[in-house]
Amino acid sequence: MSAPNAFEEFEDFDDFVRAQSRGLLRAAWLLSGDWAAAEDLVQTALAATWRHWAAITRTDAPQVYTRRILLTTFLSGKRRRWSGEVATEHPPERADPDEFGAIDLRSTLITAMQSLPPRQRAVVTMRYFADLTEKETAEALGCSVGTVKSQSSKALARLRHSDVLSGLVADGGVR
Amino acid sequence: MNLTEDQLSTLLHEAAPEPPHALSAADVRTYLDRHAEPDRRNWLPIAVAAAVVALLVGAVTLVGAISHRSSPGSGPEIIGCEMGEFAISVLDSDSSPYAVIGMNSGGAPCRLDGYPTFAVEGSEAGGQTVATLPTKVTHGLSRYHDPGPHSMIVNGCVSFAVGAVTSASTVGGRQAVATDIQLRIPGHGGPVQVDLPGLALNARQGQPFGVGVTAYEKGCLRSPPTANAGPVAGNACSADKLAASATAPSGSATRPFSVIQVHNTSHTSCSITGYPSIALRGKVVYPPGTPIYPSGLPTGPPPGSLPSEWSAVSTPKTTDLHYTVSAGIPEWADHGARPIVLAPGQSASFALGTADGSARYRSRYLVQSVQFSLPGNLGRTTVSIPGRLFAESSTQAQLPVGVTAFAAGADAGR
Repeated sequence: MSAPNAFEEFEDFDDFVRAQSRGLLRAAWLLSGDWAAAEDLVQTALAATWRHWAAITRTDAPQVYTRRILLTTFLSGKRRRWSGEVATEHPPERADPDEFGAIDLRSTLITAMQSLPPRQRAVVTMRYFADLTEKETAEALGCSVGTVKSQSSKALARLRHSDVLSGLVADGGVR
Repeated sequence: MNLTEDQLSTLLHEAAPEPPHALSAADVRTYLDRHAEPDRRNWLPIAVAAAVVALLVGAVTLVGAISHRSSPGSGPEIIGCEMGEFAISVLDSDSSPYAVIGMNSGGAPCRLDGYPTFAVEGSEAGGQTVATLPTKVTHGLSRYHDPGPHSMIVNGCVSFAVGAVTSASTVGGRQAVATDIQLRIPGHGGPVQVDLPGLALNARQGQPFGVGVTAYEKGCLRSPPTANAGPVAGNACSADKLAASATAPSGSATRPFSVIQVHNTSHTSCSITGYPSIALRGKVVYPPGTPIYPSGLPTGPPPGSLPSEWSAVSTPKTTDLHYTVSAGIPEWADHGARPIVLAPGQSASFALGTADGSARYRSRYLVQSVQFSLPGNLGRTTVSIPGRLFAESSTQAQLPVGVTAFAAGADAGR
């Protein structure tokens, strides 16, 4: 998810989806832990954005609205489902042997992320992946800046005690 | 651990993968069309979108009647999907008697509808020959959601499930293991062979095997089994149905191997096809203190692949001692991925081989146990290796390791 840019303008909804969907999908993956659920979340958020496109573009930056819907949907657990399916852990794309390192890193990270409560996961994703400020994160989550600070602090503390992340940092994999 | 905010940010940016495919506005509108409740305050855009889709359908039908491909400049080209446009793989076989097949389209949007068309290949019990099986294909599966026939514009992944339809009573009847389907899109290419992870089929004597299939559905997702899904005879073997053990190393001095045996301890038959994925557990003998990967399992070969077609590297860090798994070992008859059916009490086995005996090794590893995953990722099991099985490399820190496909019997390949 790219950092918010109040001045970023989009020609139309197609342009908006083209520019934002990859970032939204990556953020949704960090929240949900799998691509199927991530796509479900993003589709729900984009569908809501499309339905209110004219109004949103008059009063708000569409990416702010979409992000808010994405988080609200994630936290409420009310995303629309494709006939109630659950995700498979086997994506259709063929595995690239060179990808093992990246897969290991992702697997470790997502395990650590999934150990966080949903709201802390949302705060971490917005603050440290989407690079939002505390104020912007609070707006996206519909809570106070104080709540963002406390949730962020608790999440970091929990991640610091995470066994799965300690190896990565100790190995120098993260600088 | 002192994880800083900057480190966490770096980690998240590095690890969050690029999505398999980007979404387009057309995807969103299709999603809305299928799933969203109409917003009565803003029904007009949806109506317009639906009208556009309807017009496109009409245009495609008209154009399709004239020629298979639209001519340049004739407007949006949404045409029937060609079989060759898809990368196809089995998404999931779980322990249920069905396989979910994903078809990933990397090209332009195309139209697909209805149910998949295919022939089923496999071998009947007692036979080694793979041939087209006599089947009766029905639409729908009792344990998998069937969206029903509908037309869709594909711009990404679609999936469907194919599974066994078991007769009420098959005592004394026919048994077979389906190894692949020959999938085609009538008028648009195929057949393309899609390997199945050993789908067990049953039928009464003299009757064709019952096979069910669900309609094409957008998304490569898996429907949950029904809540009352009980044990089904003849499904793929999962780890909880098997007891595993390993033999002490044997073979030549320079090419030792252990045989890992699995024994069906359940009360139903199950099938195994292909190679296990393995991870070695043990300790580095030389150089002392060198870390070894992996912490997880390397990717195994796809079911039905030839031994020469795959290998899996276990390490993400080239500075660490690591190993490369390839198919086959010299002292063992590896027949590749063949479906085998294990009745209750029966055994199957595979061999795990290493290279040893070099006086000039640069790295040496003592394999104390092996964790293996069944084909189709149906559970993991760890077994201790009795005795001392060393893996060595004289030229590099990469240890060569061989593994064979599962074969019937406790010692089948010797």
